[in-house]
Amino acid sequence: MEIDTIHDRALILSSQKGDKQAFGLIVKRYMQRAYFVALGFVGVHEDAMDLSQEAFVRSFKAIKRFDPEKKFFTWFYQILRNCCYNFLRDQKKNVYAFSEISGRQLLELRDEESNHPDSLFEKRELAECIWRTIQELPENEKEIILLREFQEMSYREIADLLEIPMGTVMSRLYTARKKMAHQFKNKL
Amino acid sequence: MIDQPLDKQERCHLLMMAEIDGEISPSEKEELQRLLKEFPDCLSDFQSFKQLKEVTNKMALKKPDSEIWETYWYSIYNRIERSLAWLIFTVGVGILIVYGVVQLVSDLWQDTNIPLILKLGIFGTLLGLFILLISVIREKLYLKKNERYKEVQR
Repeated sequence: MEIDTIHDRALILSSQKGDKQAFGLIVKRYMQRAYFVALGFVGVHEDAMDLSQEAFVRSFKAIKRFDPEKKFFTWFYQILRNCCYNFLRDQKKNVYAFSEISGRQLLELRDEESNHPDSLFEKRELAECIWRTIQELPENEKEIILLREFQEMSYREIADLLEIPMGTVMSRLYTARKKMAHQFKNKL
Repeated sequence: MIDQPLDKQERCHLLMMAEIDGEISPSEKEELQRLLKEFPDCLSDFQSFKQLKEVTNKMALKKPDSEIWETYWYSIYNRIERSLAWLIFTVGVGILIVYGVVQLVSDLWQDTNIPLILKLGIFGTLLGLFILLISVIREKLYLKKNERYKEVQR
């Protein structure tokens, strides 16, 4: 068993007895990861912050039903994803507008300083187009791309998180990238 | 790494993913080279995937201000505390309402100065409200039990 899992287990057992401080330590461990997962889904900073916090509140309320032998984040991820999907369903009419504006506000390029302004502008434009294309992918493909490209998770980690075989992770990645590459055939 | 039987081309697709994501073993790398020679279409896709990966590798989601993390748990703590307070408040209000309604009905029924038709009107209104309330609660409980996104494939 991994050290993190052992530590999580002790904190979860305390949380199950109503110890909010122990749950606070779990939150502090996973809050950034939760925020970025939610941001990938909803594309707006304030909503991602609110939804990730709401998912932690719901997980605290349901913590007694959680099996401490399992990985906390895998369980928490399902709660967070449901929160995000419910939110997107309620906001359905505005989603397209979100994806139109959010790319510029959300993305940064890792080597911005080393770029000439013209080239930087082009790269930013391309990155924003790619972000919009990701947002338009079917949910299960979008999810895999976000986990791989923005959470930098390994195939094994993604497979464990989504409880699917690694082969499925790879084939969804292939399908998603094929669509994206087709969209940008002349721009890349 | 790939855990199901696949045809050669499908295997080539998956190995391309493993290669561009840096999750390929040396033997799989050799196998990919062989398959790319066998399937020229895949080779052209492979070049596009590598270019796409170059761009996505440079993309990152902006990090919010670090101060946000200092209040993150505090905000969750408040929400947990408030949800408990709301629950207690709701139960308290529920008890008061039930007590009030029982008292009202009992007083009305015993009051001989109020005409029967008025009593029936008041009881009818209260009964209607009660049925509406039960119906809304039942609907909410049904929606809560039946997860709206369980059909989403993982």
